[in-house]
Amino acid sequence: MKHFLLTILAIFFIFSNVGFSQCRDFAKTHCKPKLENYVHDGNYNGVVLNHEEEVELHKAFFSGIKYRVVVGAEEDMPIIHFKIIDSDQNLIFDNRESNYVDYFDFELDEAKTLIISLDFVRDEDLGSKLESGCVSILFGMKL
Amino acid sequence: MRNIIWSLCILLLFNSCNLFSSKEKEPVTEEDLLESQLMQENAEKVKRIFYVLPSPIEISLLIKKSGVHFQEELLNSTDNLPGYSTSPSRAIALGVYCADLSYASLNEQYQISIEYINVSRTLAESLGVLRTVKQDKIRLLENNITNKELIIDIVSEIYMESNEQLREQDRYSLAALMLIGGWIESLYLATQSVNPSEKSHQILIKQILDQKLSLESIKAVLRDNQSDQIIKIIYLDILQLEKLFERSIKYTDKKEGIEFIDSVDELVFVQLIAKIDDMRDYLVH
Repeated sequence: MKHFLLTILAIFFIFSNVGFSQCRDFAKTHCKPKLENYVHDGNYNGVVLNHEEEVELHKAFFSGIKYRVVVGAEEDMPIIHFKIIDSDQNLIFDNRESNYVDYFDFELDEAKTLIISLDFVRDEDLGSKLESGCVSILFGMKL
Repeated sequence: MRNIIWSLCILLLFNSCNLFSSKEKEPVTEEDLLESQLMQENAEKVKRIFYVLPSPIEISLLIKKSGVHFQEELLNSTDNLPGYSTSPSRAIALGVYCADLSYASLNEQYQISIEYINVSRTLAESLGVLRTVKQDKIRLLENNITNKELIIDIVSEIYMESNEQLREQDRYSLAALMLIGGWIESLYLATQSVNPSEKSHQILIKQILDQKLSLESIKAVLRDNQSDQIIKIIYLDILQLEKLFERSIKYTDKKEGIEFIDSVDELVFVQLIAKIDDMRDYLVH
């Protein structure tokens, strides 16, 4: 019985980690190439995003560096809506105004903390099959 | 009893599948649609907030762009490696070596970069972090050791895989220590490269003081792991560092004809450099 329970726990552990590493692999294979000639900064920001959720990333960005933000979602998921605001709530970018493009390039004159928020575009606007899945936000920099 | 255990196991397995796989949508009825509309109108979306630290690659790029020269003697010697015998010291050292590696590779120090890649991979493996970099990429590097972009790509993979695998193994405090190790080492490299009274260094001085913005993320990462004694000590140091960051700038309003360096309180800035030196010393030894 003891061995049986240990086996079940081991299976649970493997299932959990496969799920996590699948999201990371998705980020590496599908999102990282979209950084193109920007080098990945090494931060992995991946979440399993649900339909009723909104995710916010707070990060400081510095002057003198050209950045690219890439937002990627698994296939068959609703389109991702993302926007970037500064800490004074000034809108920097909203992909709704750019046909829901999945990246944004920018350079700041002054260092700022930016807030990148994302959620799914609602189903009734753009049909889709899935309600949750891996979403990754990667940051790239020009050398 | 056996039936209960079977039921629990089946539930556990179903639960594990649901946690990580996406849900297929069920057929929608009119009632569901109405309910959904009402929910949309009345309920706000659940918000999850994440704080992201600047990576060692990012800070090394800022140092490189400021125009200061590479100094090999600032790196944490690879001779210190055998001294890192506990998991926390290894996690910190991994962050530190990743920062050194970023600094060396962005400054085209290829031999040093190869040495530090090997050290970082060894440390990661000793922490149970496997396959940080795919073998074909390492083979590619062996034939292109002066390919800066490839080296940076490998650094970013070691950093990302190490941090994420530690988190996936529920070793959150080790993941946090690795991030802090990388951030402090990057700041150490920057502050040891700067001359506080040198006007030509004012770009780097500004870049260093801009790191104040990263403190929000640093504190968030540390706050979540305060049960760890080492993290508790670092957190208190970070609070002191925050005060020095605040006091380093005499006035924030831009005044015509006054350069940035004139708004820096040099005395406090020197204290800030010393504080970072102390913190780095504590982390590395």
